[in-house]
Amino acid sequence: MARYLLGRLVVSSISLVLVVVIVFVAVRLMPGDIVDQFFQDTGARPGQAEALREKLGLSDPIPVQFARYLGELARGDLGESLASGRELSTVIRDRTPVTFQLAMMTLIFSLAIGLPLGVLSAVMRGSALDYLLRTIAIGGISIPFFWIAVLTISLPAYYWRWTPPIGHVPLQEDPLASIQHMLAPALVGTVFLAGSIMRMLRATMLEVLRLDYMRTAAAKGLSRATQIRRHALRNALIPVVTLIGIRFIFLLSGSVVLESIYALPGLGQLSLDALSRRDYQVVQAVTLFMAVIIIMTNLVVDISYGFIDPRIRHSRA
Amino acid sequence: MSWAQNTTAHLDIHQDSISGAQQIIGATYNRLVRYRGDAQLPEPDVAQSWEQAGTDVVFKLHEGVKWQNKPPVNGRDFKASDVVFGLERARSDDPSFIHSGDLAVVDTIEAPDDSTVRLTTKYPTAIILTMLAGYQWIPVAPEVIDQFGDIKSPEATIGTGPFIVENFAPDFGATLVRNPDYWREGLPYLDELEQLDVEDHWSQFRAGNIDIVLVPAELLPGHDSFAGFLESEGIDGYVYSEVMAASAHGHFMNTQDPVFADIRVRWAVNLIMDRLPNRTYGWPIGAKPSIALGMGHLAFHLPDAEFEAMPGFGLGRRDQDVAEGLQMLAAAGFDADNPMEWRIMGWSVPQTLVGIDQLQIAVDMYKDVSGNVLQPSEQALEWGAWKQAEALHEFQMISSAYSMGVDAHDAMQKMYHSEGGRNFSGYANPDLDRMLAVEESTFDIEERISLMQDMQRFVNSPEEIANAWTGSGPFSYAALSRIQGIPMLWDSGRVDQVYVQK
Repeated sequence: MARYLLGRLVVSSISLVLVVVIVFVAVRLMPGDIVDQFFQDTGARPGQAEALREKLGLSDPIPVQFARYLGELARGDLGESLASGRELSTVIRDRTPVTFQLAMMTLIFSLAIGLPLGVLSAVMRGSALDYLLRTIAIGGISIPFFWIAVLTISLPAYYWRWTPPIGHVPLQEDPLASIQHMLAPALVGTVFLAGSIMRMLRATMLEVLRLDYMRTAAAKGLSRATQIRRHALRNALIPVVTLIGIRFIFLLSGSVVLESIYALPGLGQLSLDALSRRDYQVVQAVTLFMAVIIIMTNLVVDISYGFIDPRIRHSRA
Repeated sequence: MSWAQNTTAHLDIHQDSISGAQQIIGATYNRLVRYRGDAQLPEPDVAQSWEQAGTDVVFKLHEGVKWQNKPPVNGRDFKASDVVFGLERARSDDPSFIHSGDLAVVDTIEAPDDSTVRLTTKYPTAIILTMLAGYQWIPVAPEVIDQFGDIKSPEATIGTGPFIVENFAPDFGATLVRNPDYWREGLPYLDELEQLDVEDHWSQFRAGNIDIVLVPAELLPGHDSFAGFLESEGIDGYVYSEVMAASAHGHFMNTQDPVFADIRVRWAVNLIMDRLPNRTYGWPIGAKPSIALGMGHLAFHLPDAEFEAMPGFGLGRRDQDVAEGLQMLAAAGFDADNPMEWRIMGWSVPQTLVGIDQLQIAVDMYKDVSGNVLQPSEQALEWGAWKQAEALHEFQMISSAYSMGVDAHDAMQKMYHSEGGRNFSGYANPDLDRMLAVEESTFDIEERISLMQDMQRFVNSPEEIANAWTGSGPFSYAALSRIQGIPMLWDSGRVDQVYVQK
């Protein structure tokens, strides 16, 4: 297991280096920079834009900028926002709880809805309820969630002069208000994620239910509920855990859209604004941070297989 | 009272563009002078009066002005030296102070005593007062910079204005509370202001989450009046306000481009272009033709009757203009067998005056009106790419709209002076540069208006044409009807006079 983990860490480190290089170069290949944005209203006096680029270190050749960036990273310094001058470690620390709260609420709602409905749909295969649940799940996966998000604001505003609460209240300040503010975006995310979980669990459950050991469990006289809970569900969960891992990553990176629509000051909103402002430092820092989170999530998912299925643990050992 | 606005990265307006923070800054700080409520002309703010003679402007400050009661100033008396410090900071040589170019004309700023500011310009200029009414020219207390280093954070945002910044988060919004010690007695009326950084402003307004909103232009086409629009939407309980925005739109031709270097081509485009679709899309109600100037500079515009008779602009002479334009194109070598092809660049988002759908409309318009002699294609770019193409003159034609500055001279200077900050077309004529200099040093307002109108005629003549302007129009604001006293220039820092009708 230790050897396996070590191997994964090496691969993860290589991935991180690649992310750093690609993001650093890619943002600089985009046309326009933050200096163009500064002067959009005013126009620059002769030489001013060049002087500002030099001050911000943007006039240096890209390899020089990259070496400087690596030096900062080596010191554990994510740098400062070119636009606001704020320390990026502080900015990311302030924004992360919002994105994670949204992702966690979405995940919890999705598991609470997707898991039982997936089991129910598999167990009642071919019934009217099965067809109904599958239809709803496919609908949830098929309809773009940003479209649902926009509708949750514009439709009630038009017909009832009401919208879900906008903005954000920190969880530690007022937990109830915080959850209320996060409810609508989390539920919109849930529509998508719960459908995926339900469909995946149904499919894997159906496979497991056909296997010999399930017949053996029934022949032993175990109750149907025990057969499902102890033998079917546990084995059917492995692909679902993989899916949850992938979808959780999607929730983090896909938060750009939901945070923007619901005015949530999270990492997604931050990176979107930074991209449009050409605030390279912010884009690099957020991407690096997200890459670390994603790689760690994958690692956790891999390790969790071992706990769900001891055969995997033993084979890796 | 609340409103929605995309917020800036920080509050140091000396170091950022004014578009995201002007409402917050306008409510928090006073300037020497501010815009008059009904026009972009100066009126006293912390300066009670002023005398202008030649290159000298001497301001006398109001008595009793105090800084807001926040550390480190703690409500101390406001002094002329604070004005000097603020303006000197804003015009610093440090390139981060991005507005400094606008005060390049200023030679010295002094405070002979605590209530007098003397400003000397390098040459007599009639526009210095209007320039100083800009939101960026705020006074700053030196001890604030000593303590915080800048005025980016809400703690460091300390003015003498009617509202105090309580909190601010980039991309989230700001809350401002009433300044109980405001030096204008009895003001402000409101207890709290809230700026929210949210999407879909109109839905938020309809839901009652914000009190005042810029009505999206895409909602208004097909309506002759705002009242008619409200009626069709089944909306009551709102009032409507037209704000004299300083923005204008046009198709700008790169005079360095092989196709558009030929002035006959530029003139032909100017004649053939049907300005109405763009103009009425951007400003569905109240649009006007204009050359370089926004509605905020309405006094300096050419008269409506003159526009009506002007080649390219006059609706009554479209057939004549188009025929003449096609003749010009033929003389330049373009006809149905050899159509003129070029690219119009714009922004990749829909539903804006310069967006992708408007590019398509423009392309179809040029083709239809010219009988396919003009055959442009559209190129919609991401925002940064679009702005870079403009700044580097890497375009043939670009569709752009600009906030045209606080003063009509400023607008014309940036757009047409050979060294103008927005002269993206590459237009250069020493005669026009001289005309701008003469106009700037003319103090009689009527004479200035006349000179400004002459320049509009000049740059829109067959010998000079570089930019095909479509027009300008007011911003249309809606507010809950209980909100009263909204000035025509809603974002002018006159928010201290807004009140709620009980």
